[in-house]
Amino acid sequence: MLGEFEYLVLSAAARLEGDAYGAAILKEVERAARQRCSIGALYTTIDRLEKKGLLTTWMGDPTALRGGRAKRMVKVTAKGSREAAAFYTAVVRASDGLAWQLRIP
Amino acid sequence: MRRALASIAHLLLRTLDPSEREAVEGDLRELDLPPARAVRDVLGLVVRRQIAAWRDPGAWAALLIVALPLAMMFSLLSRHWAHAAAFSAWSYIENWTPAYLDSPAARGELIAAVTTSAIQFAVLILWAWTGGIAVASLSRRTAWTTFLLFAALVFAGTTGTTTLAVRNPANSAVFSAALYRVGLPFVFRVFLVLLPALLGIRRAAREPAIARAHGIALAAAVALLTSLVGRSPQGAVLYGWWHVSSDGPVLVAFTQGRDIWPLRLLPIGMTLPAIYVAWQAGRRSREQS
Repeated sequence: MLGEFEYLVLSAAARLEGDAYGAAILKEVERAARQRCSIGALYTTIDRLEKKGLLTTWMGDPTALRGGRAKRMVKVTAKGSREAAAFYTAVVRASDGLAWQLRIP
Repeated sequence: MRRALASIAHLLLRTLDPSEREAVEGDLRELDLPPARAVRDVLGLVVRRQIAAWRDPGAWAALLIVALPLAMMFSLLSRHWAHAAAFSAWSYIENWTPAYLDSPAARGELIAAVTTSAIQFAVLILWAWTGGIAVASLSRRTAWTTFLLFAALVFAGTTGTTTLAVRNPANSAVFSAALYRVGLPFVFRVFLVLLPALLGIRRAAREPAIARAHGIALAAAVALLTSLVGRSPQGAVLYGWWHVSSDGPVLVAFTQGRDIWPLRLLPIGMTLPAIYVAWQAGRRSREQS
């Protein structure tokens, strides 16, 4: 079973599709969770998810915006999608009928 | 302040693997985070990486079997030899007289003093350099943390002690000067121990393994120089480690004529990193062929 931060990272990477990399995922996680996300937590989580086979990563091309530094690109694997779906289903089931259900601002 | 924080972040980033460093540096540039947050984030990543790296037995082997024992020996040896070199410096530099060149015996003594110091400099540098390579080869990711602990012990290992040479009132002319008592050991430790060890770590972390022929030549050179310094490592432990408050050696039991055979193994111990480097060079060579 995924942890909630792992789920946030997987969801952000899936949403960003071909443009999923460190900084973009961090912004997406902060947007969704509405709280700060540290680079340390993000990169160690990406490593952990990659070891579990839920993500694949590779070094992309350098860009001028990043001062000529390469991005670490991220892609969710089929196993990662299944795990994320399982986590989401569990959360929805667990929340069913509770007072805070569907109170998304 | 901004520049100082940026420098700290940059320094911390250097401890990461090259590909991760590049990705994180790029992210920081793109996100344009406030410097304090950038430092906090990078520090968080470095700490997490270090915690993960220290789960590897190689990291503990590098620290406990190589770095700390070597650091203790370097702490003693560098001060012992620095105080020995102080006599030569005091005699031949501070009190130079042409009479030192008059007779063959005087010239011989001068040549012997210079040769002894040169051998000691060379062997300290090579022991420290090969030690640095061995540490980084055993655990590259923890090499910088290990180096910091190594450096701390090189300086702190002799705290509260002095050398027999300094305790001897007959040498007060030399050691009343802080330059010889404290300054010279500091210089020895920085330039003959820490700097070569640092370069050894950088060599192992950034460049390919040493070629087999170079590794064997290096081990042979270290073994030869170690044999030339003879029982000096033993002497550094016995006479270079004297109580400050009482006139006696730290290892009283050894000097009271009890079993001192473990000290005879010290020169062999100092050559082990060079032997490891040569063995590793041979192994890499076999793997590549």
